[in-house]
This record gives sequence, structure tokens and C-alpha cells, in this order.
Amino acid sequence: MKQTDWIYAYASIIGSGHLINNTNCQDYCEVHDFDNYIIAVVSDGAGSCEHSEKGSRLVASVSVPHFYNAVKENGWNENKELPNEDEWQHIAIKTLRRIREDLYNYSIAQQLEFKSLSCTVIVVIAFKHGLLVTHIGDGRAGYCNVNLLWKSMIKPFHGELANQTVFITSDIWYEEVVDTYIESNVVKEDVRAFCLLSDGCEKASFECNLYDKEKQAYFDPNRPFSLFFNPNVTALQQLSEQKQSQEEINLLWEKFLTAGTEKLKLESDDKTLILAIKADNKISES
Amino acid sequence: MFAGESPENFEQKCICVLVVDISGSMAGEPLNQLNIGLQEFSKEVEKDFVATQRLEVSIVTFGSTAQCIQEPALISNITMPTLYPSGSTRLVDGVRLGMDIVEKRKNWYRDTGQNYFRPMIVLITDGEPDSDQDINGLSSEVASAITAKKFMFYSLGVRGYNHQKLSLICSTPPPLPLDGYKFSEFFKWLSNSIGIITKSVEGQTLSLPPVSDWTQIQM
Repeated sequence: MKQTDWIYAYASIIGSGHLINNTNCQDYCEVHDFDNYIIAVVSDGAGSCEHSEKGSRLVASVSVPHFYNAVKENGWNENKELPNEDEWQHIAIKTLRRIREDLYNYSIAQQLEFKSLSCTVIVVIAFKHGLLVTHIGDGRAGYCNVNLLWKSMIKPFHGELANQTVFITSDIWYEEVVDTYIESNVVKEDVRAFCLLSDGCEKASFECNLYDKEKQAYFDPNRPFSLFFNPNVTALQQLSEQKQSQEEINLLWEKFLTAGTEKLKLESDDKTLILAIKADNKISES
Repeated sequence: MFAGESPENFEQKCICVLVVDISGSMAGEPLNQLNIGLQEFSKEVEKDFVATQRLEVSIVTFGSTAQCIQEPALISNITMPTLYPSGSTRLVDGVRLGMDIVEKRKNWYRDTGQNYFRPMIVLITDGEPDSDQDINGLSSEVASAITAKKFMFYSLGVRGYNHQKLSLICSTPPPLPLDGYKFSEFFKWLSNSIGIITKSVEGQTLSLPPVSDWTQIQM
């Protein structure tokens, strides 16, 4: 196992709905270690688009080198101070545009309709001293601070209907509207752990559709569920201490995402979840 | 070893209004099979936990009059009715009532902060509307509602139905002729479709499972 600042587990699992329809898993994820930071990407293909699994695979894989270049160009890998929110949003949009261009070129080369490759994307770059996150579409991402408090770090974009969102292929790139659809945030506090996930995992791991009896209304607190994450942070720490390989950790994680809780077991959508913890910290299960 | 608890999130809702022809011509085998199909529908939904939490069903019947015999409710709160034949074919009134139920339910979802999937209206008929029914008016109402993505509309033609008249009400998607009286297969498909609604781009139709088990044509 690599000796880095972060320990992580990641997997994408095909949903039962896609098994019934005989379609491929449309989620993809990537985690790459660099000297003192990692880049984690989750991309979720649109179920209604014919080749979205190709789109999500390409977007997940090309996001890593593009954001690696962004880190290098800005010296964040050399412990230079992380950007403010506006600077990061500007850099993230510029980088996502390059990823979109790669996807467009791929569509031309493969003679596929560009929008048939529609997919969302969430990117987290984790440094020892903070996180950079950017995303297009839905899904969730959150982190745990030194006070063991889990917080969300993005807000999923939803259309009028529950299953509608925007994708990297959508017409969202005009200067006047791009900030509405692309959200980028900077976390500068000391982070113990973080997660990013496709919407197929959100009902199992985030509080996202609760009922307020007093107001007699439903609401989305968009809050990572500590009883879901904390035991897994501990398990990940233990697996690392036992010198389990990344492949072994991911296999166990796959098994957990398949049926580790009743909600995960019943989910019909594809499920992707990346969980990362700082190597030198521990979180108790309380 | 990995383990954890999941929070008590509620499912997003999907309202499906069944607008069902109970006119005299549906007497006998068609209604018998439809009644069996409704019972099967209920059992099929109950097998799928997500669908039990997501699907709200409302039933409108039309014969000599159109009436809502089941207000929107989760399957677990519904006792499926037994339908009996009744007179002529107030089809247009039935569909309009179905559209009204969809609109009211959507407003209720919004007022109570609930996310919802695109509503579905399913028209089941073996005949054609009474001659004084405003089929052209309904046609334009359905067309503009579909253009505005207010709901999805499926019409299911039971043996002897008038394809041309039914196509006037909704041509996209076209009416689907039911193979024999395979209501049970149709409702099984409907139940599966609700459980696996996937992410879509604004304006796109949903990718539903193949329909070959219960119709004579492919969509």
C-alpha cells in the first residue's frame, strides 16, 4: 500500500434497475495519489442517455490529469496557500471546460452524439491543509472536521423533477449562467475525513429527505450521516493498520456498498462512494 | 469490517393516475381480467420496497359518468376496487379528471417540500368516446401538457378499441394495443418502471423497460 497522507476506499456498483434493464453500470470513479495530495472523482451517467457509461468513464479518467495540471500550475502541491472561493471557481470552470472539450473530441472520434455521453461530475482535491471541491449536477460530498462534525461541501443541482439535473454536456457554459450550474468550494479547516458519492448512495449515507412534523413538510438537510460514516472511518483505519492492499480494501467496500445496509441493498440506481481519511487521525465510533 | 446505519429518508413520490373505461362494452372478460390485473398490480408493487414508498396511485373510472374512486395514496393504503360496467363512454371527462388530480397532487407535493418524478396518466379503454365528447379539445389539452412536461401519458387499447380516435387524444407515444387481456403483464411492467426511474436530462423521456410482454407492438 502507498504511504500517503490519505487512506481511502472506493467502488462503483451496478444498480438492480440496470441489471433488470440489462444495461451497464453508468457510474465511474477514480482516486489518484500524488506526492502530498489526492484527486478523487465521481461521475454518474444519465440513465436516459444511450452512451452515458462511456461519458462517465472518460470524464472520471481525464479529470485526474486536468486537475493535476491545475494543482501544479498554481503551486498548491508545494504547500502554497489554497485559493479563495472565487479564484477556485474560476480555475475549476476553466479545467472543467477542458474536460468537456476532451469529451466532445471523444464523441467526434467515436461518432457518437455528444449528449448521449451526458454525465455528472464531482471532483475533490485533498491536501493536508484543506480541500478543493467542484461539481456539475447531483450527487453529494462532505467532510468531517477535527470536532468530529460531518458537514456537506456541495449542494446537488435538481431540476423541477426529482430525477432531473444538469450534466457536463448541458448548455450551461455561457458566462451569465455558468455560476448557477457549477459550484466550487474551498474547505480550509483541518479535515479528518471526506466523502463523495453518486446519488445512488445518498439515501443510504446522507440525511436528504426528512419530515418535519411541526411544519408538516419534507426537507433536505444535506447532512452526511455520522452513524453511516464513522464506523466506516474506523474500519478503514483498521484495514490500513492491518496492511490490507488497496484492492482488498476496495473489494470489502464493494461488498458493503452492495448490501451493507437495508437502504444500500434496496437501491435500484448505480452506487458510487469514495471515502477517504487522513492517515494520521482516528475517529471514534461515538 | 465496513458497517454502518442509514438514515430514515423518505422516498420521492411518483403519482400514477389510472383512467379506466368501465362502459358497457367492457363487461365480461375485459373487466374480469382488468380486476385481476389491479390485484396483481398491488401485489407486484408490494414486492418492491422502493415502489411501495414511491408510487401513489389514483383511479378514475368513466362509464356514464367520470369519477375518482381512489384518491392518490401509497399502495399499502389502498384496497384495490372491483370494477363493474356502467353505461356509455365519458372518456374525455375521465381524462380531464385525471389531469386535474395530477395537477392538484403536484401542488401538494410542492407545498409540502416533496420532490417528485414526472406524473403518469394511464388511459385504459376498449372503445371510443360518446359522440358529444370534446375529443379535439382534449387532444389539444393533452398535447400542450405533454409539451410542457406536466405528465407522461400512455393509452392502452383493449381489444376492439378505435386506434384512430385514441391516437387523436395522444399520438406520442402512440396508443399501445394490449395483447389479449394481458392486464397483469402490463401492471407488472408499470410496477417495475416505477421502481427504476433513472436520472434524465430536462425534457427527455424516461428509459422504461421493454414492453414486449403485454403489447402487440414495440414502443
